[in-house]
Amino acid sequence: MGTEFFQGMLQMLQPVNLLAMAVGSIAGLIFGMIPGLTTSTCIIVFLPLTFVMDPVPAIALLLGIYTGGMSGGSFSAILINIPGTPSASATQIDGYPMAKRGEPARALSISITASLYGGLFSYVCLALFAPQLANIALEFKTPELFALIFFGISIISSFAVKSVVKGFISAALGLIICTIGQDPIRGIGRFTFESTDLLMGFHIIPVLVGLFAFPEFVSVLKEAATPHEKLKAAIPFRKIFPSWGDFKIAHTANFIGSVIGTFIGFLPGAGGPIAIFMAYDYTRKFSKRPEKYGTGIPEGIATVEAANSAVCGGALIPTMTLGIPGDAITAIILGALIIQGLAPGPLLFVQHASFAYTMIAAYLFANWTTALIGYLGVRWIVKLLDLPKAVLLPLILICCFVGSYAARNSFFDVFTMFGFGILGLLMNWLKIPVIPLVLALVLGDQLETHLRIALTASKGDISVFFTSPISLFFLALSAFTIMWPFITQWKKKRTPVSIDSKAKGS
Amino acid sequence: MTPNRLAAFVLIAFSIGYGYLTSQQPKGDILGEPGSGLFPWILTISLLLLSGILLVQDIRGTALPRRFDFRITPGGVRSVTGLILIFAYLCIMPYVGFLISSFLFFGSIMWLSGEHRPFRLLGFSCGISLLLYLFFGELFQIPLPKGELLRGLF
Repeated sequence: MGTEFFQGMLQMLQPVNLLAMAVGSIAGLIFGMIPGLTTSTCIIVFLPLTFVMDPVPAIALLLGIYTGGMSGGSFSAILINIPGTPSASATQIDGYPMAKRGEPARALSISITASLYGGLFSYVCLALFAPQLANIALEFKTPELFALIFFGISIISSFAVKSVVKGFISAALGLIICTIGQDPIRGIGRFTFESTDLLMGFHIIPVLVGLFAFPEFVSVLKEAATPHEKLKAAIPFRKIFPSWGDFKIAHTANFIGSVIGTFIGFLPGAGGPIAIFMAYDYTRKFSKRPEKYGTGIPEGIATVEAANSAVCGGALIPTMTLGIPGDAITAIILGALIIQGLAPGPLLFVQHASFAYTMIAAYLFANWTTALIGYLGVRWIVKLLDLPKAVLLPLILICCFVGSYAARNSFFDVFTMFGFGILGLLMNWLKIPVIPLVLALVLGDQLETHLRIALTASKGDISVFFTSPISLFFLALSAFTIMWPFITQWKKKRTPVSIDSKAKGS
Repeated sequence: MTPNRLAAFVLIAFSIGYGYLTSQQPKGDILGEPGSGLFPWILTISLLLLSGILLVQDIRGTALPRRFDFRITPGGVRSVTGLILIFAYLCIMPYVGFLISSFLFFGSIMWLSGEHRPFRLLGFSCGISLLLYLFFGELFQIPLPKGELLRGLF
């Protein structure tokens, strides 16, 4: 392990990998910063480029975008009081008052430093736990793998959404879409209507582009004619570098945010927005001056930024070791790795050990690169907040088109993108979440393959899933995650409403 | 008819159609391989069940959104026009090629987003379309569509 670990580090030091990472970080910072654009869109726009790249620079680019996006969201939250990403929505609580007080550079500096802190903390967890977890997961056979993937889909469908039923409808639709094309065991066509295009199934890229980019495009276009707030604050170069005093004040907040962020990131489906509000709440509870929160104090910015950056490393642990993505972005990264022929999961550490350790090293470098670009370039990057949407919107849309087309140089994929775009809009309108569908699309083939292989091995006996303790554990956990929202709803109904709250309500 | 009720009915109809197609899949073999229809059958039943629950939730008034919101707003009109423009862009591209269609699309989306100054419109549409063509087509060697109508020219 030690040799591979250092080989991974050396691999990452190659100029082409560092360059790809820097490009990714800059793009991530910009997309994360501009309200209306998200890190997922940025990854989708850049995904086609990874097809023509080697796996290492490709993952360096994607991880650069991931960490950059998480960090960039805070820039607009601090400077114009609009979070660039949902994961930065608590940064503005203290960031904006500090900027308004005339200290925007200090707020940005605390935010960039906290992002680096959170990222490095989660890197340590990733480097320590991922290989161990992969070793455990190597013992899994097909029934266990089926149960594990089923658990991953069920936890995202129930915890990440407001309605469990709609979450599962979304997952079921994703799995149904997965069944179109070649049967993964026998290789015969299913639901293809004798179309050669459908025989290969839907390519993941146009599907992702449609589902993520179209709803964003529509919402940005809706507001496009509304003039946005212009950036007024100047960022003095010298003041952007972190001061020891601020670091000392924010150290505990950084630590609490990092621990919570890594843990929440590890749980599939929970994600950044939950982590940041939990971190903010806990840091305030442990603080000696809780009444100051919301007035523009360093701890308020630091804990949120440390948490949302730590989510990335946390989310990469189940993605790399179990093949279960922690959030939407890791689901897209997982799809990209599958296209590269490097399916994440326990076998990644055996069959492609060198790549696995390089990926871990890439995450470390991505954090440093993002922080460095943040410190040195923030005063120029934030100027892009004034860039008109009228230019950005068609530019991104054309990139989305090229991404879909380049997947197989086919117009079928382009129209697939459009079709899934309309589906994404309909789902958005009906409040059906898209993330379970994406996860089901990425994991659907594996789920079916493991189910059928396990049943074939057991000669059709379904008890094979209940006799293995690991499989039983994951299936029980799945049942619990499915039932939990119903139990809490039932409990809420049974709790008698107090006279006080009734009075308040009236 | 509430949105959820409509969605539930559409999903039930879809599940029935999907189930019908699944019934035509080959069955399992004597060696115990469950066949390519097993997984789709599980999905058919699951989707039917879930759609049924959504319908019940809607009838009991626990599912959101409760009603259609069809107000015509300038933003809504812009969004629908934008979608029509994307569709038109995708349809004309095989005929006129990436460069010309992107130029037209870029300009129309800029116009739709409120940019009406002719020099900016032309400059950005021309410049960025050309830049994207060079970046993807030349640098990354993606064979972007040249257009049936203009094939002879390039």
